[in-house]
Amino acid sequence: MTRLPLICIIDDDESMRLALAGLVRSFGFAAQAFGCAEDFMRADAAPACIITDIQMPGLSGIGLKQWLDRRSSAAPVIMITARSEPHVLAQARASGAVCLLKKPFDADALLACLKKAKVA
Amino acid sequence: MFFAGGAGSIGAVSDLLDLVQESVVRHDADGRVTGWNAASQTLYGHSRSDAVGQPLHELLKTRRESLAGIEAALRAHGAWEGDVVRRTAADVAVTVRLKCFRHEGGFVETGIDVSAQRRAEDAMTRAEHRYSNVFQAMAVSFWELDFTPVGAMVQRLVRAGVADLGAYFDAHPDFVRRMIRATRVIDVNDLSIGLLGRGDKQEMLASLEPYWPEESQHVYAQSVVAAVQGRPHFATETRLTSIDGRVFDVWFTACFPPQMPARGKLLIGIIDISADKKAKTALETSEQRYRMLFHFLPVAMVQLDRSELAGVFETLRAEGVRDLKAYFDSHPGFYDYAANAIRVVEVNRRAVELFAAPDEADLTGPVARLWSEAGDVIRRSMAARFAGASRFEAEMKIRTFDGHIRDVLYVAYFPEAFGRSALGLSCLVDVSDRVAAQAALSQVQAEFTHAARVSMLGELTASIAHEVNQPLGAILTNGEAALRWLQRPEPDLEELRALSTRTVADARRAADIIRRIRGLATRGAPEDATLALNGVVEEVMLFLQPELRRRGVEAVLDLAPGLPDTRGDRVQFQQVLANLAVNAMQAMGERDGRRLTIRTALDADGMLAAEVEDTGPGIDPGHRDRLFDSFFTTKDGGMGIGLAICRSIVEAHGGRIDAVDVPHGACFRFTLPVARADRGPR
Repeated sequence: MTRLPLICIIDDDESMRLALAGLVRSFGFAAQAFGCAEDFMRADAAPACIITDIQMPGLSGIGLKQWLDRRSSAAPVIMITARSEPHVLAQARASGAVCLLKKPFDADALLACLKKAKVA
Repeated sequence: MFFAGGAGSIGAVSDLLDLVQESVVRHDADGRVTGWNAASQTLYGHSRSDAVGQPLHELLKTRRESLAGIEAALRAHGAWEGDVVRRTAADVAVTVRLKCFRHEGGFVETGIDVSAQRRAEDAMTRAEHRYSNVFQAMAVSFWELDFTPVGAMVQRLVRAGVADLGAYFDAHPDFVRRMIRATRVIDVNDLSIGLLGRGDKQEMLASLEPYWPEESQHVYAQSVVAAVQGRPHFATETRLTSIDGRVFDVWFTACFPPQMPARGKLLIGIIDISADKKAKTALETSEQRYRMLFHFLPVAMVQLDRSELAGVFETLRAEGVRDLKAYFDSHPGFYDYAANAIRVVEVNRRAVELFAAPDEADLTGPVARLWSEAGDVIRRSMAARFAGASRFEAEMKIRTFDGHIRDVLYVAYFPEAFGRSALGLSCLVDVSDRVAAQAALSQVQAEFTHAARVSMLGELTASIAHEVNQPLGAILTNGEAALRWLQRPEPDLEELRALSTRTVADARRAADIIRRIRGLATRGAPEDATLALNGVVEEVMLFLQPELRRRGVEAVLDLAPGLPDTRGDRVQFQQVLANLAVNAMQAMGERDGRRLTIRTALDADGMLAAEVEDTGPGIDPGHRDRLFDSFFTTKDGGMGIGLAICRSIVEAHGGRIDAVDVPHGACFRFTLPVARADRGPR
């Protein structure tokens, strides 16, 4: 059995986190969910792609991307956010994320992002 | 002379002396009687034979205090004159006016009985004394008048043939005025100086004219007529004027003692009856005044006859009933009886208007009819009266004759002056307008409070949207995941079950959030519930959590355990806390170390206290006094009603709200009273 590509999901909102994991699995990937960036960093996972919320207690999604960059991680990052303030969106785009999704988003939009990240 | 010569001549002289009216007594140097005429016998009651040879002063018991003086005078001057008191043979005191002189080695005294004269003189002295006492001491103004000139004027009239003086005086008021002017005041007593003068007696010893107003001239004329007719006195009620023009009612008496008019003098007495007069007038007018008040006061008034019920109350009291309220409860028919036993006997105009009654008569009769909408107010009023109250006051409703319900303030008086309890007086003040205004005001207040809450929700829109979007987004995602699983040739049922379970949970969570917001956004009548302050804080924190998270504010709760409950409206308390917290978050903005602390405690005064403290820039001292004023704001686009509403909510619940000094940031503190244990929820 071939190993499914691992998608790591980081969101402080449990509902959203579990829902995303379920959706990612329904796409045919393996999913691993974390409640905060720090938990992910400690887990030392090797994901094919990272889906992260931007605004979280502790390190934000943008902070996490910067941490990944410092580690020269090649894992593409898809950012999701419920916020619509322009400066947040601009920061997200500038951080080098492959995709920025505004909650709520539909499954096809996420799938398109995963394709863009060359995972799907 | 009489006593000279021998026995024969003595006898002749004695005979002669017996003809003399005066007592003539001769005594020797030792004081023994040697001669005693017939008048002496008459005066002293001792016969000549009894008297001769007796010591004179012992015989007649001449008063000792006189003796020394007499003897000294006789020795020095050979003569003495004066009155002595002696006693007769019948032991009757007589006052004798004596003339004593030395005569031929002995003494002769002549004496006449002046007892009657002395008695008259004493009486006169006493009378004068009494008169002068009375003149000064009685509460009567006495005037001694000289009307000699008036007497002359009247005599001229009589001589000129005027027969009817009264008619003449009536026809000639100028003549009367002249008589008054001619009447001189000789003396007045102290009271007169106070009553009609102004402290100076001399000033008053002049013409009578200033005191006699024209309206009282006929009284002067009548008293002159009375004097001329020889009547002993004349008295009437009249009005006099004081020297400085004050007119008052007096009781005037003129006395004409027989010898006084002869001397041209007249005594008049004046009694000030203004006070009496006023009292009498007051009595006469008080009933009238009461009627006037009753009928024209701009307050509806109802006079009640409670005599029948008063009797029943007496009986109940005698039977040991103390609490009429309890008696009403245990005797269901009693109130109806009582309300029909009290009868309206009179109503005023305003009452007729208030009840929109066709006529006064429509309002009289048993009170039960008028108080049909009173609820338990009349019952309570009766119980108050039964318990001995003299007054009862409550708001109630009445139904007017044209079918409207009006709010009135009902005030029942049970004045003692009206007798034990037979009559009662009730006032009705129409307060419909006030009640309506109050209702409108509380409506406005409720709307304002609501507006403030909605405005606060508006400030939380972003986090509310976020809060709602989270579960909705999850539901959407779950649904799409489920659809994808279902599209697979072999659906993973385990995965589908998990998705469905989560979808339900998320939908529930969304519904909870909506309900919380709706609680704040909708407007209901304020509740009065027993609430745990800490519980309210925790609810608000749930609500504020997304905003705190969004703003990156650390929330610290420091809630005292085991606090007693308070009472009030949950939503309004949430509003106060949320408002303070939102203000705090906004004040902190993007500053570092953003922290919101909410504390609860029981303060030293036994009040529940909550504090909302931030780490923002603090309160500008210049704004402190106006913080809670309506429409005061430092926020762009702020309405300035948040804190004002907070204050009105807190104060309406019996608490206080203040800004508290803290080293850094701002701290708002409000208190709420502890719910009393004996009050259950209403």
